Parts: sequence; C-alpha cells; structure tokens
Amino acid sequence: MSSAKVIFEGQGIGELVASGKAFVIKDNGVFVEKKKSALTQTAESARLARAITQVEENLNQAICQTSAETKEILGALQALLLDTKLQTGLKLSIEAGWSSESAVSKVFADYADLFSEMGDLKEDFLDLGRQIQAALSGSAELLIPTGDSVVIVAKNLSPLQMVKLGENVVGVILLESGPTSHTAIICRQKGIATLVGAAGLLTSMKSGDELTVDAISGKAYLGPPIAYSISETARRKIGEPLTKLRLNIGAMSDLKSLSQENIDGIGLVRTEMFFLGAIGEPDSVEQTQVYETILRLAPQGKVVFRTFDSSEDKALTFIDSKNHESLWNSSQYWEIIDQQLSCLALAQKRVGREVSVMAPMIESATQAEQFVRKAKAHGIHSAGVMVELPSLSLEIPKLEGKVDFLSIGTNDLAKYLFGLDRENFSSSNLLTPWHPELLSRVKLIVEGANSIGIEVAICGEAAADPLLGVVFAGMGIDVLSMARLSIPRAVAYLSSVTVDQAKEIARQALEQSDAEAAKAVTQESLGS
Amino acid sequence: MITRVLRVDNEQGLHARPAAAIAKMVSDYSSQGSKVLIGKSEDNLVDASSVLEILSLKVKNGEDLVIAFDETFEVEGFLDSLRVILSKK
Repeated sequence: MSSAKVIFEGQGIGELVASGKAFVIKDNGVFVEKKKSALTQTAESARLARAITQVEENLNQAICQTSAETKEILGALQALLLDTKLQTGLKLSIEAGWSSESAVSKVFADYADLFSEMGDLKEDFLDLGRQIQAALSGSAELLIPTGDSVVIVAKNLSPLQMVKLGENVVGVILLESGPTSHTAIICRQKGIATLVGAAGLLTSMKSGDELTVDAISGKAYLGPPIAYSISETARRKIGEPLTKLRLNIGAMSDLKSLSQENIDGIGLVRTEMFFLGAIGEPDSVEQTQVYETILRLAPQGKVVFRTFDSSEDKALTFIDSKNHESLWNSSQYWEIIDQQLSCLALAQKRVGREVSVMAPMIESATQAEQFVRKAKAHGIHSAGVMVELPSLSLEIPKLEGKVDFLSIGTNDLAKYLFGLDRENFSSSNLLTPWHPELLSRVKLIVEGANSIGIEVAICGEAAADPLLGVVFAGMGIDVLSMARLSIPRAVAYLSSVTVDQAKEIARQALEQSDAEAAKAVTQESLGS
Repeated sequence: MITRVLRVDNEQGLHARPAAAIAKMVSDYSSQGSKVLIGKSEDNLVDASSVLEILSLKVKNGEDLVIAFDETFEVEGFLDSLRVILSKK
C-alpha cells in the first residue's frame, strides 16, 4: 500500500476490495442558471408544476417507507416545498419570463439566506431546489452513470437509495453512517466494498477519477487496487470448512449465477427486503409468489425465512415499528405473521421443498415457544428463533425440545447488550463484534444450544468476517450465514485450520481485555 | 384581532419541524378564510401559514412568540396544540 495515496479512511464493510470511476455526490448549492423561457408562460408554469409534483410524490413515497422521526423531517421538507411564499416567488419569476430552472435557482438562493444560521437545514432546503431541477431535466433519482464500474462518494445514502443502486456500483464511501446501519448492511448484501464514517475530503478527487475502496483495511486510494501479500486463495487448505456456510439474501438478484459449491442453502431470507417499496401489507398472492421463487432458486440445503423484521431505518409501512423491541406484544404483528406463515406454508406445498422459519426480536423462551407452536400449526415443521436480545440469550437451556434451531444476530445483540444506537458511528468501538463481552455472550449461547442439541447459526454481519468465523467455529457454532461475496474468503479461512486450532484461537480471543487485542491475537494466529 | 403570547421551549429554537407543524395547523384551521399571524412582537407579524415566513423570524429558545388571530378562530384548541409544538424537543 506504500505507493498509493490514501484519501479516505473509515470503517470497512464487506471484506472486499473494488475499484471504479469515482462519482461524487456533492451537496453544494442549487445549480445556477439564468435563462429566459422559450415556452409560453402557461406551458412553463405547467412544466414547473409537474416537476414540483414529482418531487412531492418522491417525498411522499419516502415518507411511507420510513420511521416516525424521519417522517417528520421529510414532512417538514414537503411543507417547505409547498410553502405559499416559495410558490408565489416561483410564480412571479415565471411571469417575469424566466425558465423554470432559472426561477428555481433564483428563488431558492434568495430564501437560502434565511437558513444561514440553521446548519443542515440550509442544505436540506437547497437540496429541494436541486431535486426540482433534476425533475425538470427528467432525472429525479440519483443520476449515477451506468456501464463502467462506479464508486460513489457521498455524505450519506438512504437505505432506499442503496436498494436502487445499479449493479455497476462496486464501491461506496460514506462520510457519515455507522458500520451496522442498514445502509451498511445493504452494501454488504449487495457485495459493495464500503467505507462508513469515512474521514477525508470530497474535494480530494473528482468524479471520473479511478478510485479503489479497500474495505478490508478501511482505506480508499486513487488508482487501481494494489495486491495484498496474502491472497485469499493462497491460504493452505487442510480440510473441509469447519462450519456449514449459508447465504443471507435480501433480493432475488442475490440468487443469480450462484456456484453451489460450499453453499448449504440459505441461512437468512430477509423477507421484509422483498417488500420494501410496498405501500401497505403485501397481499398473500404476492407474498406466496416471492417465497415460491426463492424456494425454486435457492441452492441445495436448508432455506430459512425470517419473518418480517421492522426497525427504525428500514420500517415497513404496514408494521408500526415505533417500538421495535415489542414487536411481539402487538396483536397486529401477530396477524401479519399469521398471514406470512400461511403464505410460506403454501409455497412449501407448491414447490415441494421444506421451508424453515425463524422469528426476529424474540424476548423470552415463552415467546419463542409461542412462535414455534404457531409455525407448526401452519404446517411448517422446522421453526427456530433469532437470538438478538440479551434477555433471550440467558434462557437458552429453557428452549430444550421447544425450538428446532437458533440463529444469532450479532448486530442487534451488540446494540442491546451495550445499549447503543446502530446509526451512531461514534460508538463503533463498542459495536465491533470483536468486543470480548459480545464474544463471551455468543459463546454462552452456542454452549447452551450445543447442550440441548439444536443447531446454532450466526447470521449477523460478524459471520462474514473470516477471522471471526474461525473464532466462532472454535466456540462450536454449526453454521455461518453471510452475503454471497463473503463466502470464498470464509471458505479459505475455515478450511485452513483444524478444530483444535480453532478452539485455541477462540480461547485466546476470549481472554483478551478489548476488541483490538482480540482481533490482533487472532490475526497473528492465522498469519494474516 | 386577539393576541396571545407563548414562550418557545426548544433548544434548537423554532426550527423546521415545529415551523412546518405550525404552518400545517394554521392551514388546517384557517380553511374558512381566517388568518393567523405570528412574530416576536406585535408590530412585526408574519403569515403563520408559511413555513418560510415562520423560519424567517429566527426565534430562539426561551423567546416569546406573539400570535394574533381573528375572532372566528377556535382559539383554545389551537393554542393547546401550539403549546405542544413549541415545547417539543
């Protein structure tokens, strides 16, 4: 790495290195234009009205898909957009013969001064103007070039924007956002090399420059990728991988062109991701079709569907998610799950392939039992729960004979164990899965599951870190479930050690007093 | 016109979200052509149905806000809602 000039440093997501042409999303003021209209006044104001309606609709759509607080912010932006004074200003400009673009740049620039002492609001306001101008030019969405590989550099992107990124986006550098935000999770899911909470200047490169994102070392530099000394294939293979490896999926494209080798089915279908854009609860025909397609495309092995999960930054419109933790205390959620289970059972019958289901955010052994009983009543015989709330993690032995398998969600477990905000990257030190407290909690869960003889998996982001994978294998985990692109590295690491070596590596990691030391000692043992 | 005075209890002052909430409430209440004005003093009032106008007041935490409205207005219900908005963090 010595010859490359590092221009960003942040937390890497995705265990990948990728390079492409930089695409910088700068938020610097409304595009200024001074042009008279070539249209009649009526046609020009109709054109502007259409663009404004389009921005309003985009906001409406976004409002439907977000949590209460975000809704309020977007609602305020919508109120600004439709403000009577702003509209009057635009109307007067059009009447004076200006083009819509010019009217927008003039009026927004005039009012922007109002916000000079109000921090981000000025940016948000100017962004509205940019959105109208984009709608005028027929490009309301992010205008990301297609074709060549692209690395996006931006302050932040929303989960919705992320979901819509094209396949040529290979890297993302975000100055904000945390390592376990849903934006980051979607990046990993899509196999995008990502840096979050990145320190660096947007002005240190320009759109079109070749940029390499190295999510493994958490750096980005100008120019093509520089090879690592130890490549993933160079690891000496001494046997089969120590655990089963399954896929996490959140879109049909995750199932495209899969090589079946080393993949034992799907460990996590994020069902809610298939209905992100849906307004209202997806109907049973639509749900059944999606589940059928997944069952038909899934590689051999178990297929684990997680029932709809809803949280602050990937809220579904049909689930009231204000109280993420108490999903299961809402009778509305039970009704939704009831319908989802019946759709899954129908898909199971139609395809003739067994479905496994698991429930997120389960608080107690009693709740787990309730869910499993419900699933079985629908004819789904393989039913388990996610262990992601600290309360359940202490009750594992009570699950004997009551659930068929467990899956640990390391992100949420860390969040609730340490009482943190997933979007808050300043708490990254505690959110790292290497934290010894988290590691020992995972060990406790794994030992509990082993003692009652049920399968235990990890489907959180930590499973994709090949070093941690070895630590987990050493603890006795049965399955690691991760995004497709992380599998080759996991295979390489998990086949390069014996069970006893992995146990020793896990023991050493658990003995350390902090996350950095735990990671360092593992790195040293694995020679990477 | 009737006038009332309320104090802003929000560290960020009267920022975009409360301003939008006020403007929306005014538009809802004033569908019969009644008018609501708002400002830091009685001689400097702006149209409370415009977010931009409200924001232009740059009201800070702890400052008093003068609200003026027609007799036709359902004052008490409106003021109660307004109090909630002004003290919301």
